Amino acid sequence: MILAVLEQAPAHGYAVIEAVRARTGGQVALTTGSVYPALRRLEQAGYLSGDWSTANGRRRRTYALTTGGRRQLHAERDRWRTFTEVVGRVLERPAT
Amino acid sequence: MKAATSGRRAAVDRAHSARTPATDHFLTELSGLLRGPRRVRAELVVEIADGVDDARSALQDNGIPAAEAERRALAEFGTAREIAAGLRAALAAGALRRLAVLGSLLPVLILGWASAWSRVPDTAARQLSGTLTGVLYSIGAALAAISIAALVVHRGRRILDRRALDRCRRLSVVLAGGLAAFLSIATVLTALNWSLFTFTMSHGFAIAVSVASLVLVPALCWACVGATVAATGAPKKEAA
Repeated sequence: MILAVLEQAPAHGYAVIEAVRARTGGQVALTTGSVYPALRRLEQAGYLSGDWSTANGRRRRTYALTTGGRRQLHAERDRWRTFTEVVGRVLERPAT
Repeated sequence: MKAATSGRRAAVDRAHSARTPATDHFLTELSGLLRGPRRVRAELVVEIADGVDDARSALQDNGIPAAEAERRALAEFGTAREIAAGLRAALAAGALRRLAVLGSLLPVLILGWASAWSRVPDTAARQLSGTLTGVLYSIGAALAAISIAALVVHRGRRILDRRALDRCRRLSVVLAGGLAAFLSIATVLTALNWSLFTFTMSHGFAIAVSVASLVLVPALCWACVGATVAATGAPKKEAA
């Protein structure tokens, strides 16, 4: 989800949380305590690049998707589509 | 201890200027629990402080009083210990990367040193350099071996995630491969009586390689300690 949110534009940690909340209509709320370590892990894995920038007099660490991150996102999307399709076939009531 | 505490406090103070004691205590405790390079730890604390401020501001924008907003923002983050545990993997990965870079240079340096000094007559300077760099190389190699053993065999699998652990294994392969390559090349060159190198080496190069050793090998030792502490070191119970 973090990679998907950052696909559109770079963002800082709390903006990622708000974007996920907005895109899921409040159904999914990532906890702040888990997002920041996750961002760092994704950065270490080469999926994100983090840079410090100054906005409104405050230094902020902003994360952007790397080429590797974009590839990983596409792969995760494919896996998710396959998973939901397969599970959907099982759960849906068979046509009579 | 006092110096370390004041260092942590300085990092926290840089994190943000307008905070209440509760947030300040949380950030100070977090800073005390993190292990790794000072700059990276300070950056992490600043980033987390930003997150707390953002969460508090968002709650206040929804009409929640300042004190309650701060309490909720901190509660949402969890305890400093929980956050530190999550961030430790990131710190360990950075420390391992430095270790990998320095560790991969070590065999090259040893080979360069051996080649360079083989051209220099057996003088007191050569003997001194040989003793000094020999001790350094031994310490570097021993520390690298200890840190890799600690990371890969002992605590690594409990503390590092799978990706970081894979990185550890790759690192050990690189180090082992580098040392094996060094031994192979050294054997060949010894058999050839160093004839490939002796005509190209000079005293200047020999000294340059020794100076590089004096810088790089301690840096490698530092990286070994940093990587081991970052990945396996138990956090302190409480920041003073």
